[in-house]
Amino acid sequence: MKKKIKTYLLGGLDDARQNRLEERLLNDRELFEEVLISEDELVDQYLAGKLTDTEAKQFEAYFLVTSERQQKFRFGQALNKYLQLNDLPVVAAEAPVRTRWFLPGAFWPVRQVVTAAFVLVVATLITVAVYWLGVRPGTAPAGTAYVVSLVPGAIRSGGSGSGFQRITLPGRVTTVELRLAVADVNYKSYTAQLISETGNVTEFRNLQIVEQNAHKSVVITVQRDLLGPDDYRVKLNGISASGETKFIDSYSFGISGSQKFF
Amino acid sequence: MNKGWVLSQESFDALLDWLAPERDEAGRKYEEIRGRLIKIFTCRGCHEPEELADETINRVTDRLPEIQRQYKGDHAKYFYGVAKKVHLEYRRRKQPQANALPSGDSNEIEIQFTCLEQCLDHLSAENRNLVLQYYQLERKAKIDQRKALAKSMGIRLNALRIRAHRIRLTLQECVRKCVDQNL
Repeated sequence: MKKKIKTYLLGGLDDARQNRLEERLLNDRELFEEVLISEDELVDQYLAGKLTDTEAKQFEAYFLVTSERQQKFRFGQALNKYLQLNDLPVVAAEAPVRTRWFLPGAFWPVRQVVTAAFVLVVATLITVAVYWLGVRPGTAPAGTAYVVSLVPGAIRSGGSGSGFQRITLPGRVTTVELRLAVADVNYKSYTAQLISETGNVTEFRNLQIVEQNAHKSVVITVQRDLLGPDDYRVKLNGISASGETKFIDSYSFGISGSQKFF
Repeated sequence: MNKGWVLSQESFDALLDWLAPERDEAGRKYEEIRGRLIKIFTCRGCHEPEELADETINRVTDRLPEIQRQYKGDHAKYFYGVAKKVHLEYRRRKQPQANALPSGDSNEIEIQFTCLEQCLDHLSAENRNLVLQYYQLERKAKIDQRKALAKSMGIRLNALRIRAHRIRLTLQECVRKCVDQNL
């Protein structure tokens, strides 16, 4: 199918095959997405010089005909340049040979013992978390505010996505309290920017440090309607006594669809 | 083309009623059909895909009372039949035009690049890492490493491909808005 779509995008299908594909395209969501993906892959293949001479000519003369496709092309060029300038570390391929470790004199492999212990710990933590979030008086189901504690990460703090929380907000929550853990408390006040992945920015000013159980944090209260399902980043800045603004850290989290309570 | 014909609210409501009894469902179907007609006209090499899609929808709406009486099949297929006629007329009217690659205006390229950096910054760390790693590997054609990336995320290779593409669409939209503001 991928080859057929590629030929279609380059204007190479005969009328009958084109009609059949287009009829399916109107009702088949997966096929439609496959066409969109193939358009971007075709741009990347052209830029990487992976198309044959004939395909490259068809690409230039036929594919790039609309302004939308020309935008895709320019975006592909920019992304390509970015990737060339920022050579990122990649995930190492898994070693082909598997090693099994055994405890001396025992029948269970060490890995299974460790896995079982890990599962037990995770299950206990989940049980405690479910109790804490769902049963504890004054939290989400009974109240209107929902508290989320965030630690700095991951782009500017050297992590690789660790600590990323994806949160499902209970249906009755009207505000969300974001507690940003901070170590640097020597500022007169703080400002924060809440940035959604789709580019919406909300600014919070004159924020102060709050201390609770020996943990210092900057707290921002966000109306629930500002937190639709999306991924978010909070950029925290400190304002010194002289009025100078300094970036402190950023915090990432995601919001999933609403949870309903029975 | 029937350019003088204007889609009235009444006609549009009738079209939505035909597409589905529930208004939300009808609106979703309308958007879906329009989006796919645009894509089909684009794939057929038309320079004005949006106009041709709207012309198709206008013609269907114009003939709706007759269609409702006589046609019982899939709505999308009816639109497709009309779209093919609209395309034929378009081909008779307009000769295929030779197209050049987008110009290499250095200022525009610079703006595009700066916007991409800004938009990448708006992504979550998780999505940013995913999209950059995926296309880095795509660029280098490291199939084994793409498989390793998918495995590390606990998903299949095709699911990774779809996820990376959806993030890319978000990025493209963000860059397009940013470039429009800066040009």
